[in-house]
Amino acid sequence: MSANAGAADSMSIEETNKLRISLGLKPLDVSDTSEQSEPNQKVQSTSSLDQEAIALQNWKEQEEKKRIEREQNEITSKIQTIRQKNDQRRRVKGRSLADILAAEEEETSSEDTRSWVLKMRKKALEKNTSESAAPKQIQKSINRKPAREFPKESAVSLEGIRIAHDFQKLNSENELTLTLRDSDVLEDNNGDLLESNEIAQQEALHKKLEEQKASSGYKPYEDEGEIYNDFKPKKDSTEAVTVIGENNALVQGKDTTDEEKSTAKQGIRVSLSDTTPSTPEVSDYRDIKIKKSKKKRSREDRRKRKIDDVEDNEFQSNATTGDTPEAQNSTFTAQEKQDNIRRKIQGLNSQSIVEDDDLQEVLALQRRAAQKKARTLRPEQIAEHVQTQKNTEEEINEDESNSKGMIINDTRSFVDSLQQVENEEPFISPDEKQGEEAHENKYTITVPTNIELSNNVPEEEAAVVEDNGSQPPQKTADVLEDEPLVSGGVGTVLSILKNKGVVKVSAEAQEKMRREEEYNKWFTKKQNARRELEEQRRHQKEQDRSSGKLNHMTQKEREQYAKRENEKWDRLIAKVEMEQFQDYKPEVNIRYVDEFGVELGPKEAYKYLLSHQFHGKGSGKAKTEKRLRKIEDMKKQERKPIFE
Amino acid sequence: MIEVLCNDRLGKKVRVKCMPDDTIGDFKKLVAAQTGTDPRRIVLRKWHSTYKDNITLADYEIHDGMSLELYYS
Repeated sequence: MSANAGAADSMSIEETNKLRISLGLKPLDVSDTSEQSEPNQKVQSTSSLDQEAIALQNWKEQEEKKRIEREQNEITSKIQTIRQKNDQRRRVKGRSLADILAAEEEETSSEDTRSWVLKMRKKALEKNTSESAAPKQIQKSINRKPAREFPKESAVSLEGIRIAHDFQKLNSENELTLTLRDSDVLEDNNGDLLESNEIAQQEALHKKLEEQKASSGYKPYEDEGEIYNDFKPKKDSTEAVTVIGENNALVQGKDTTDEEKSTAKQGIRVSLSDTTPSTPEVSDYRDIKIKKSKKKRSREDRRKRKIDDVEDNEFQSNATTGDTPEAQNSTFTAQEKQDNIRRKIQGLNSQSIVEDDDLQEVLALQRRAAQKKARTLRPEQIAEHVQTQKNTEEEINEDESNSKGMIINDTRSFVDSLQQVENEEPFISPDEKQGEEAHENKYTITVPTNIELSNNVPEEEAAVVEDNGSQPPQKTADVLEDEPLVSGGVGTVLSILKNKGVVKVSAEAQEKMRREEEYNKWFTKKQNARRELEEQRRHQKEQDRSSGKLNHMTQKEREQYAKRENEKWDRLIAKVEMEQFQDYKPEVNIRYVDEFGVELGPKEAYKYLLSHQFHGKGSGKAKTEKRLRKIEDMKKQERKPIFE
Repeated sequence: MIEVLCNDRLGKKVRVKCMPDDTIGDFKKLVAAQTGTDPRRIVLRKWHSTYKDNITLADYEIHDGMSLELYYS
């Protein structure tokens, strides 16, 4: 039991008892081990089995008690009922209703119909014969309230009371309950009017049926006026009234107030025979003006018309120039063009110009084309035009050069510029001249062709001149040969043009260039100054090192010396730089660009880049859309080719 | 009086003297006094059934020398 203590802690009994007392428990029931087993068992038994036995006994006792109580209650209740019955019997004498019914039930217990019928008959007979004896008792015992009896003879006589029905109807019924008819308080209809509900309903039904029978069906094919013929104005309602006369005799009478009533009811009389004026017939269709349809042109016509518009320009332009041999140089030979146009005209003529309208239209088109031609320009056309113009002018010039008088035009100015150039650059070597001459004739550029053409012309001249003589034209040839090749690049082209005077540098561009040059000069100056100083610094360092001054110093001293030197040099450099900035003239250009790439002026810049960003609010929907549209148009415009 | 063993399986082994009609709650108090813990935190178990506080040791049929498992909640 407690032999194997092991590592288990255990409190002694005394300690345990102390603990138990402190906790509020009973102290241990200590006894010997041998005894302990038994009491243990006992304790166990009382704790579990014995308790059950006790419980069982208790329960049994409880049940006993309950049973006894119940019986006693029963007995008492029985006694009570018997006592009550006795009391009742003493009070009541004779047959009670219950007895009667019970007796009846006994009698009627035999459920045969025949026997029951006989019984009932017998009872009825008995009842008739002996009315007085038993019922009285019954009545007394039952204590019924007697039915209310109306007095047979009333003090008030019924004479003069009116009934709202016909005499015959009243007679036909066995029993009739008449009620007073509802009427207005102030309305005085000669007194009260009694009426029977049933008879009134019957009459109403009767009337309704008659009306239904009378009203004829709708005859669709009859004229409007005849529908109303069947309508009969309501008859004057004359109610049949009976009056109770003397000694309760019914007298048929007529209601005298009906006439008044009928007059009141009629109101406005309208004769329905007058036909109403028919409404004006409304047409279902709206009033529409029928427009004369235009004659539609066929697809063929329309196509031809379009071509005409386009080609008419050329037609017109060529018409002015005519068949000149110089027109051969253009990209699209005039001959070919004219052939086309001739074909077109033939096509036009082939159309049946039946009516004057068509002819007029054709003429109008031609006129319009002529107008258009004045506006639209295409490179080839321009080239052509200019060339032909020039040719004509040249011709005129040549013609007129014989006559006295000078004409100043482009060619003239060009030649003058040539002379100018010739004066400026007379020192080109002959070798170059020779080499370049060979290449000159191979111009293939597509710049504004008037240049090219004008180049061609003087070249020819120059070539001609050169063939003839050497020295005097050599100068011009020099100048011409000096020209660099266009194949050199865009820069060379630009220089050529500049020399010719075609491309003029504007004043502000020149200003800009000047400023840039200035800035560059200044910048280089600054750089040089700085570099110089750096050189000197380095040189000084070298000297210090080589002189051996540093060897005599300790590390710390060396560091200090170096620090001082650095400071000195830095100061010097800074000073020099400051001096440089004395003549610093920068060109400051603040450009504001928004997210779409559009350059903004001061107002817009403030608006979009500052104000909107600061407040965090942009423009509204309409405004932004407008802006976007503008930007789009701008971009589109930029992308468009110049000549269209 | 019976003596019941309570084993912690972590080094605590206690032998408690008590009466069979003591409730588990009282028993727990005794155990707590001997082990030095809070009686409310002690949970006595036998395999997976936890012993409830209001039932006596006799009803649980805990006899002399039986061992219970001591856990802490």
